[in-house]
Amino acid sequence: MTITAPVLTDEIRDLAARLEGGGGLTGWRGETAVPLREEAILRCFAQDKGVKAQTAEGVYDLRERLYELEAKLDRHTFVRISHSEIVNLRKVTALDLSLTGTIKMTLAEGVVCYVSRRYVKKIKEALEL
Amino acid sequence: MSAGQKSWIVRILAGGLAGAGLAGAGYRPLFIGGFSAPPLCGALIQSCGILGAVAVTLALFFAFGAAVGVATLPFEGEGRSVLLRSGLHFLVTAGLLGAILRVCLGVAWRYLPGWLALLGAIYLVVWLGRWVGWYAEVRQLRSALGLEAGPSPLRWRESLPYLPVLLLVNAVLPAVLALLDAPDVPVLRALLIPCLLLPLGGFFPALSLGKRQGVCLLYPTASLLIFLPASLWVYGGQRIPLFWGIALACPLAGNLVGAAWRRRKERRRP
Repeated sequence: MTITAPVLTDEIRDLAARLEGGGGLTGWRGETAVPLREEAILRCFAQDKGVKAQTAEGVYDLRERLYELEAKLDRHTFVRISHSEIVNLRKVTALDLSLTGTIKMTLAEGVVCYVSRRYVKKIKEALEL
Repeated sequence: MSAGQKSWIVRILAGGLAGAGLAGAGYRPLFIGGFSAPPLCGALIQSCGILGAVAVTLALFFAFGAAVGVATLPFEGEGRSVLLRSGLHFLVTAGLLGAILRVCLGVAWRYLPGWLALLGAIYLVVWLGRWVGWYAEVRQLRSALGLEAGPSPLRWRESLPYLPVLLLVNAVLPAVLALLDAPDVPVLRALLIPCLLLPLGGFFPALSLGKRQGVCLLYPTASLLIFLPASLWVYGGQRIPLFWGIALACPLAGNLVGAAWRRRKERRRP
């Protein structure tokens, strides 16, 4: 595969890296490896000293750390929303703000997560706002 | 030292020195007085001498200035921690302001609630300002993500359908009951309105609103604002803070219970 672009930017490098990696992750259920397509992933989160990925089909263990996932996944689609969570922005169905400033994010399948105010800037950057 | 700690120290020192400077600038009216006016700290000077009074006043003004200096820091973050930190900051600031007014300036006890209410109103405005900023940010994110615009600010639009109920319960019915009431034994005005109409008519529509829309703080506020002028007419110009409290507290309680019910239901949803 050949990528042609006028300038070799970080975005092109990201794209090349993701194409080499197949645009997905490998989820684990015990010893069974399950290929996870990026577009199927709702969120990746830290839990019980491990990292998990949630899709509509269920929750899978991942072997990468969250910071590795941040580098691996498309940074315009997957964004860190708190210390322990990365979400797929294409799966967001609602955003609600409480009186105390907490932002509740609802993903497809009714999955609810909470955005830390510290990471709002990252979401804006991902959305180029 | 972390950047956060450094920020706290810089703000405490800057605010504290500004506060102490303010006390220093007001040295004459505070400790000497002028013409026929006695010094504002007269009682304090009598009890602990001029040096003691200066020390206490400078310390209190420094502490109050420091509290004002760090005023925006407790609002950082989100959720319960903001509520706790800003509540604690308000208590400390209110305590220091009360001490300055009472001990240094000799303000009578009966005027302190008014001053503290003013401080509370300032806090409310700051909170509202922060919230409007958060709301604008979330609205921008919603738009960029292609989501619906979401609820209106403080859910004012969602509360509008309940406004006729408020007008009926807090203004129309009390007026009708006042017209029907016996002039010698005003049972309807003295008992029915405060014990039945306002509590039940305030609580249950607000409960319904809370269940459907969540917390809508404008609704109890509107309840009070509608009842205030109506009550002055119904009770012949008498001011009855207890009834005003009922007109505010019952819709507030109903709305919060409804919102809690809604939240619980959302959490149980698979």
